[in-house]
Amino acid sequence: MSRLCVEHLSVAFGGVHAAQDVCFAVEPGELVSLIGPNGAGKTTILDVVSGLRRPDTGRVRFGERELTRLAPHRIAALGIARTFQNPALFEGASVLENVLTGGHRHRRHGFAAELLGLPAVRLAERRARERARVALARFGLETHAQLMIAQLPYGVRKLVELARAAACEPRLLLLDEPSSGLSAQETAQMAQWIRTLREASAAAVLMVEHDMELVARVSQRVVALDAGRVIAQGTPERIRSDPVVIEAYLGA
Amino acid sequence: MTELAQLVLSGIATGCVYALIALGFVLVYKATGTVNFAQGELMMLGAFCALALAQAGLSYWSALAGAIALMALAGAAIERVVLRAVLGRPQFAIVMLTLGIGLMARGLAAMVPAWAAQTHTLASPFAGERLRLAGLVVPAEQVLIIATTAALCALLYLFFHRTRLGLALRAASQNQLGACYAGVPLARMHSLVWALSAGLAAAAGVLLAPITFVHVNMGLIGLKAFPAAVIGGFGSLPGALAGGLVIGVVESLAGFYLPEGAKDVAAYVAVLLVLMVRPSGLFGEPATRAA
Amino acid sequence: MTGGPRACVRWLRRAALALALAGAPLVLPEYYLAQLSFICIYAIAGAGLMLLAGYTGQISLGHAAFLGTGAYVEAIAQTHGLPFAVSLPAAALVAAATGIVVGLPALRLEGIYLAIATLAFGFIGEELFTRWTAVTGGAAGMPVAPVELFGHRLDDEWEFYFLSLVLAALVLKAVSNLLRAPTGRAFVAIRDAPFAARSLGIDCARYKTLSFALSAGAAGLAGALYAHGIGFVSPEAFGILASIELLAMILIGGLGTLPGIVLGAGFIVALPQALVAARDVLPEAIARQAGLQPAAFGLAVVLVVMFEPQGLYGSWLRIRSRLAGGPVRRPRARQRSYMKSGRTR
Repeated sequence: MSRLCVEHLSVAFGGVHAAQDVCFAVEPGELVSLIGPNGAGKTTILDVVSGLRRPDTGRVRFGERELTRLAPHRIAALGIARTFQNPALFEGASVLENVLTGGHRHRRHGFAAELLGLPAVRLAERRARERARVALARFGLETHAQLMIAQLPYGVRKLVELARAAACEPRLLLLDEPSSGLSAQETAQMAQWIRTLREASAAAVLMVEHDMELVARVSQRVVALDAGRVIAQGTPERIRSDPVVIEAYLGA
Repeated sequence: MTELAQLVLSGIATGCVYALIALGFVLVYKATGTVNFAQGELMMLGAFCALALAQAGLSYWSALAGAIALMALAGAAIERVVLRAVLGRPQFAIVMLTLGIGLMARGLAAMVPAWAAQTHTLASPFAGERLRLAGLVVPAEQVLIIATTAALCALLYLFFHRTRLGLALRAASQNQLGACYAGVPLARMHSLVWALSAGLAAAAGVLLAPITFVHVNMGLIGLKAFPAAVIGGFGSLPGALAGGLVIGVVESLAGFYLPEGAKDVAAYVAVLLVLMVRPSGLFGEPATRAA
Repeated sequence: MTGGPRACVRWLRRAALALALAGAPLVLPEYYLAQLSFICIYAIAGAGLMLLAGYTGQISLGHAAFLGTGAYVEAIAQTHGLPFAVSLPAAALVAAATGIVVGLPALRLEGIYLAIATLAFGFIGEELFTRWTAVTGGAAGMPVAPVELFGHRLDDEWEFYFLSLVLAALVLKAVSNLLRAPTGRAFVAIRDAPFAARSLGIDCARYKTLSFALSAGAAGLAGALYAHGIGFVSPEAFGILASIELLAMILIGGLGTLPGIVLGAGFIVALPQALVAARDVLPEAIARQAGLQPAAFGLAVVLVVMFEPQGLYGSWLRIRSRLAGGPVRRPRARQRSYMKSGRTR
């Protein structure tokens, strides 16, 4: 099992420091939440970990591998999956196909074998479909399998994205605001789905989240950011009562 | 030396025409996000309008003005009837739509008995005259093209920077949502920008007429404005102007110094080279990516 | 899947279709048989372009140049006496290689920049076919003899028809296999959400290049058959207008659908025939015009984009579901918005 280490990470956009000397770690199997007011640099850190953005200084390691120089698809191939704040689903495909695409890193055959439709390819495809159906069932989406993404309400889309990331069978899952845009009731359900996800896989999770209720319910550790800096780390209870964190959230 | 200077000058004259088409192209793209592949056909129709007006007895200048006005109306009509119906569709569909409009325009023009299957001359008042400028012998028509283009650009500049309407249009091009909240009627801006762009195309067609004559397949020449717009970085009006001039001059030099055929592909080779080095054009800002 | 009355119906329908296609030479006159061959050839080219533009979302405004590459490779190989069984794969492979060369700079380009770059490539290709006289015969073109397969000349129309039919069936089957496999899903992922695709482990550059290569290869194959079907290659068949026609074909058929390939190919072959047939009905002044065909074609494209974004296949689905009394199924629906797409600033 591998540990995610973010070491002295700094990212600047023009003159704005989105992250400054950020250090924290995610242990195998652990769920860590990144919290902080708007513009604290949470999503930027996820973007750096998943390779969509290059840091100015500092590095990110996953086990022995350094991620900072890798292309996004290579990072994903190491078993790091992510979701986006606004679900980035494949609109022209069905729910099932979206989840199947999540299993892309497990594909075994070259395109030539696929063109010919070799028996081995068809067997692999049948297995992948079975796995995808299991993943859908786990999130209560089995009746939606054949629906197109455009037909789904927002809340269900977020769930499909979660199922797609789970189909990756990741070792580390990056969740970008799973509750954003959801009602209070849906957010409560989301906590349940995240628990389901963690029961099904041993993946570590790094979650960016605003909703403190959700954070307190699912996370083992919380990293609080403000203006690109880590201002506190610890258990959810400790962070909630930390004066510096309260100051950052409420203070001017 | 004089040879080179004359080649450059004639390149600039042709480049002015490309620039006018490219300007119209970029105007529409900036304001509406639509890539109008029918721009070349609008130019062709503009040239035929002017031809018809001239044949009806109007003078060169009134035919030019008439063609611009007619095509502006046609442009606004196309926007109102066709493009407004497909707002928000994927870019591919809209590209195909404008290509389809172009095909239709060419087909319909070819169906007009008086226009079809031959080339026509639209004589400018200075046909055949030559001027002597600083030791160069310059066809007066080239000077006419350059001067008219400069005048049109000056008018455009004044329109965008000195009138409320121009300001509204600029606002709508930079931030649609913001402009909308500030009370700019977006739908009318779209019509206006199509009218402007089609008017520019008509002017380009009339100016191009002495160089290539007027014929149904003129629109294909107009396709060279796309490399011009891309070299200029797509979102920028001065860039489109510069891109048009670059293409014109490159083409003129390639036609003289390189083997036959090089002239026709020079614009496309140039645009491929530029895109390989700078994927968003010479003057374009790098494409911003939203994560 | 096995069993069930629905599977049985599907199997019966397929058998009926195969029977009709196989029996066509018995009932159709040679002229119409040749038209069917051209539908097959266009379907091969359309299958490739559908992969690239319809499924991977990469627009190509110069696709006819790939078609031309295949046609010229075939014509030249035939004049040098290469057997068809060698020259046909060679045509597809050379075109595919050209596709990779064009696809590589295209990796960095998106949307409109890609459209212009492929447009430029198309023009350069057309110019090359015209000017490289020593190899291509220039504007005068080159004659191409009928196909000779394992020592037998396919002189009869029905022989060429079966050749085209078998190849088209193989290509369509291969494309449908690919689309039901991880590669096909990777293409769709790149089209719909490139960032999400990358963060799921899809190497966008690799798959875009693959899509270009396969698409160009199919176009090359179609081009080689086209050369035999026409019996002649000349540059104007592979110009910008042909490229637009190919794109219009998959759009009219139904973008991002497999049956749309065949429907589009059928449309593109049937339209000129329909216009010829309509000549007797239309007023003399319109019917005799050379512009009638491009005008009708352009009109078809405009109408499809405006009123039937899912193309002929979308119409078919609607008619079928109305006949069955069920709800309308829309394969792809997008939200309409007043804002320009894909640009936020």
